[in-house]
Amino acid sequence: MDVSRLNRRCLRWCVLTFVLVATFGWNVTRVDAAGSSKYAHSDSDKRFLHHIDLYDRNNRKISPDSTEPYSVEKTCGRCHDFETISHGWHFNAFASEVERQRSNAAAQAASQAETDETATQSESPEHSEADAEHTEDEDVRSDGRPGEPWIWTDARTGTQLPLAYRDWEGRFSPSEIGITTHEMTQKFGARIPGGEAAASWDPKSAELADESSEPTRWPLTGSLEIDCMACHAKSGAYDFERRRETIEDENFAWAPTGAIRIGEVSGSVSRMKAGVDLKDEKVQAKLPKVQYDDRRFGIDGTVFFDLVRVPENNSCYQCHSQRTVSDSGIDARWNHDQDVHLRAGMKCVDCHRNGIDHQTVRGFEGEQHPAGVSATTLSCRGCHMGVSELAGDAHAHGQDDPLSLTQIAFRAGRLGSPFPKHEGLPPVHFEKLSCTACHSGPIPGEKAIGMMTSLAHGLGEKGHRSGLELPSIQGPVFAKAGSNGLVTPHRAMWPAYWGKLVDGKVVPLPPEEVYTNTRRALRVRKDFIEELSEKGRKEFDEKVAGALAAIEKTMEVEQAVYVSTGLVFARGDEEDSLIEVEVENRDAVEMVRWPMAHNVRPAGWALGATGCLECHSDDGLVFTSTVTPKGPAPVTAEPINMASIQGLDEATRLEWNQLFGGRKMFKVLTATSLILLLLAVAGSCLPTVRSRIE
Amino acid sequence: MLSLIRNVSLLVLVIATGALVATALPTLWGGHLGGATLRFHMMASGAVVVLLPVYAIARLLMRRQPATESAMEMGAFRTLLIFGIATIATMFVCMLPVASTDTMHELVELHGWAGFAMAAAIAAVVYTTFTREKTA
Repeated sequence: MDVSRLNRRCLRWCVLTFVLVATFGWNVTRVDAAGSSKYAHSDSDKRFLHHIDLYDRNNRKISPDSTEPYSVEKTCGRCHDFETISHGWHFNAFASEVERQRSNAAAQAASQAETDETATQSESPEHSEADAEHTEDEDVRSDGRPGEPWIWTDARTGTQLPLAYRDWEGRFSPSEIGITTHEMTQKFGARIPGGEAAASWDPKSAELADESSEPTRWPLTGSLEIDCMACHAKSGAYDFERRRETIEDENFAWAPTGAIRIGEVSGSVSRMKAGVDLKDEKVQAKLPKVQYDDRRFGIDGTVFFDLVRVPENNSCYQCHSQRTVSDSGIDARWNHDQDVHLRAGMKCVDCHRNGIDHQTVRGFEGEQHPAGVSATTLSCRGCHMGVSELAGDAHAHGQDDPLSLTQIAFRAGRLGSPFPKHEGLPPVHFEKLSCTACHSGPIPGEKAIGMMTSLAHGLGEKGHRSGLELPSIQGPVFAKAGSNGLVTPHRAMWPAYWGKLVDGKVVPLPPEEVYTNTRRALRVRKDFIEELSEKGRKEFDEKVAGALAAIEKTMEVEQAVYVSTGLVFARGDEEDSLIEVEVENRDAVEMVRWPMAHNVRPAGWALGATGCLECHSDDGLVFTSTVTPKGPAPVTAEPINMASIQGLDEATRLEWNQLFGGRKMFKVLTATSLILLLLAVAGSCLPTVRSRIE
Repeated sequence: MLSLIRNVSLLVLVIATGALVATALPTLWGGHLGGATLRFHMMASGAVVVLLPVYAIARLLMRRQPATESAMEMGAFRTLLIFGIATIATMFVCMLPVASTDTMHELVELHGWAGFAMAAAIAAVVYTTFTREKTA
């Protein structure tokens, strides 16, 4: 064989190999691009029975003799696109969409800039930067309408601290305060379905950790994985209380196993110290163990999970229940009507629905949802009244066939919703008020009532609640929503926390550290209000001043403060005395609020159903109802009326009311005027008619 | 006496209509009435609702007297009455719990156009009245 022939054969093989690699490579890319296409679907409306093999976090099949908890990701992720699902709304409660997109956009821009630079040296760097900024601007979305904050509540220290990872006004970022994701998971894990930050510790903090830093507890507790069963298990098959207890024991990785009740979890990570060697047999022996119920395993080793595709209301109620509290305590449930939509037979997910990406539609107006128009028509207005303004856009884009799918989707009446005629209601109301202002929330009274929510008060957990427990949430508060300026009913609270003054601004301190450092000074066993505030101002001043001194000493804080009820307390010159100080960042002290949408009342129970005077009178509750700053401190704050929260001038409001007061008389006057004018027209024609007859 | 009533009512009508037109002008370029402007518009409308029939009746009663009216005068007067009725009626229906939001939007638009037409008619009435008195 001569050399040239050998080279030709080599070349031929190389070409063949290249073609094969290119072909397969292209196919692989196509599968990836198709996303979930690599997962099989049932494509039927019927339930798919889940007799499935369970796998642990090391991808080993679970048998009745296994002692490891099952891993949802390893089990469900075999057939479902876990990666896509994991970016859903509920699984990002500990993440900011704005931050995520900002970092993604920056990474994309950097990568794009690099590619551009390599590809064409002729392009100017300014151009690339401009492109990068443009990409960032276009990609960054908002975190949406503010939702309920994670309220870090500690009755022992009189703390009710509103937190959020999302970019929402009035909330503090846990990471900026120094609260770790592990602490957040332990505190609120029972109220999230797992995922993202709760599913793994922050790699950045792991990188930054040096020998002197405290060891993380994540390796012990394991991740709080997304638990698909929390929403998709049939009602009654999933034990939320067992899950909560398991998370409280810091057995994060064991929570899905405990909650679905396929085995008993024994042992508690909370009793173990962080930083222990997990390879040590003694440590291994102390880790929680699962004893599986062998009756749940089939002959073939599979386990039957009773699942539903569309979550049942019961799953939502775990985290989205609410109760109202009046002067006599928690209002009895029997006397309260459900949301009118539920009474009509609808389910939560009929409106709050999602695709495989689990981007659940929140349903507020102006929501930027990846699904676009189909999500827009799931808001109150979109469903009941249609979205004519979008129909206009479609017309502009040439989609003006009235029978096109797009145009039909813009119409009112989705899900059989009745069209509200709002007879006699001047359209200006739709420019001033959200639908929920008249139709949602508790019926307003002279003052806002107390409210309890699942997220804040752990509703669902068996206990003895009086309704006075922290955090003190009140509603309805009729304030203008930040997103659209429409008057909307809100829930509201006043933050209470221990903080420090830095350059005239108050900054919260980590609540757990505060508890450790103020325990001796405060000497509160269970309840700050009962054991301190209710004993009078002197006792409060003395103990709080002591606690502030302890913080200043042990936490190396120049000036410690206690924030409550819209006031900031600092140590006075005299011993055991407190003074009130002013801070530059009032938003860290003032009311924190978030819009409420449920329960929706029927039309007959809407505000204004009996006429204008329900609101446009001197005692119209939408303007005159009051809310009083409430907190653990023993101070009596002045009530604030809704008109002032809405920024309305009281004199102007009263002038308006006078116009409405005489409205009935004006109607009679107008009717009389019309009759007389008609007679006058007839009268003006009479001579002409008469002369023609004559 | 009738003449006094007629003249005073016409004068107030002119002022009120001027105020109504001035407050409604922003609607011509897409704006809408609200706040203090709307309140002022509503107050002025009260004057029109009361005084337009007063003026109409006074004028019809005066017509029985020897002075005769030209066809132009009568035409302006009838136009004023017709557009006055249209303006007031569209507002009146909006005040009753009968019109849906969509209907109300249409009525508000009609109210606007009828109102501007009424303003033109009142200008015509004033012009014809003054022209006659000058010639007399």
